[in-house]
Amino acid sequence: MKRISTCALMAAALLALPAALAAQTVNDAQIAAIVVTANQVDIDAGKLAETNASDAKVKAFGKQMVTDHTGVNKQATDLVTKLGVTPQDNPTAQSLKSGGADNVKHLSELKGKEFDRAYVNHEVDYHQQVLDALDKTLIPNAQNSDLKGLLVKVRPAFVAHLEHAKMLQTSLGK
Amino acid sequence: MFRIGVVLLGGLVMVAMGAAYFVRQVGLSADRTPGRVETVIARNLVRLSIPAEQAAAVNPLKNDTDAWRRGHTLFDSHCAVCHGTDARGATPIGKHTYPPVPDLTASAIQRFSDGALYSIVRHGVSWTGMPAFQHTLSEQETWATVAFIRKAGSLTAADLTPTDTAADVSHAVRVVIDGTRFHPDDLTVSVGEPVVWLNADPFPHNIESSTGRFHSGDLAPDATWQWRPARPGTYEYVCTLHPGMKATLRVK
Repeated sequence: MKRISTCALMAAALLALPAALAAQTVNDAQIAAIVVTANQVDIDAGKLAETNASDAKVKAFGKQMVTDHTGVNKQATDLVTKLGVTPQDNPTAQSLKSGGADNVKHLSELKGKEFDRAYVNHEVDYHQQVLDALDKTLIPNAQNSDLKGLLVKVRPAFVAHLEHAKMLQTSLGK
Repeated sequence: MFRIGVVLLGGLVMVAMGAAYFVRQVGLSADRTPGRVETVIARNLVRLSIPAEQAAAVNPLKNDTDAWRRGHTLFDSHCAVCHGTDARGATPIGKHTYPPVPDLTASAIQRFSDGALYSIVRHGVSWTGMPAFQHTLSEQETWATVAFIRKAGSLTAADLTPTDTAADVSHAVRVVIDGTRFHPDDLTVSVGEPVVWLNADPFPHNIESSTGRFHSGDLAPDATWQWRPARPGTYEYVCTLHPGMKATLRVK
């Protein structure tokens, strides 16, 4: 029962997220906070998968998420520092953060194949949402050309991650 | 006497049943990884199977400092499909055979004598994917290949740059990996012309040909990797980390 309610809560959070992202008009400082939070959320989940996943491919995927998103975050942080922008907290970043925390909490209660499936399913949804956010909110609203350039540059990696996660989803069976 | 016969027969039956049980339980698929004990036993069996005088043979090219370069070309043509151009064995074929293709630069393999490696290349190893090359490579070529296997673990970019054509590298053809794409994604070069891949993304990528002809291993941000095609052909390659990253290298 507890699990069902957690799942329902997460599903609600996932549904609410794109709406929150799409509705926002955001400035560069807010975009910076969203980008850094979005990456951090996936790094946290990836770290958990590195240790808790049972399938070797899921483990490797988790490890790669940590590496790739850490790389993106480093570049984003470097750019933000160079531009002298202070990331500004905002509802979208907050909802990403709490959604990520809920996910990690939910995942840490799971083991074995159950963990693998839940993690991978969430990765598919998460990357889809981040792509939607990039396309509908972040890229169109970015004012600074370097920031916009970085978002455009990393977008295909999110597509590749989504494809990769979908492949894993198929191989694990729903 | 009769009793010994019964015991022997019983023993044989048990061995047969054991083997049948193993096959039923584990199957004969190649899609698994041998355990450490199995690996150690198998390696020692291979070592013991090589006659002592062959194992003691000295590489006649040991004073030829360029032998490994010839060996490298041969390795590229005959061995790299399974062993990879870097001899580390992490190719699409190498990873999924049973037993998996070993990392030739690892100490477990480097511990074999020159003569033993020569013997393995000449005669192959049964129950593995390793074929006998005595009908493909001459004795001299085999020794050159052994010289390369010795060198493979310590190869540097400079080693891969022939001294007489060092100038080539400055105008080597460049493929930039940027935005999780290869630019250009369709490139034509001539045989022997070095191709340099540069990772301009903030996270690792790799370059792996679909047939295992070349593979770079993971390339850190800002790192480069060079490959010099030895034979003409059309090579499809991907980044195994990011599905959808595909490109073609045509060698004339």
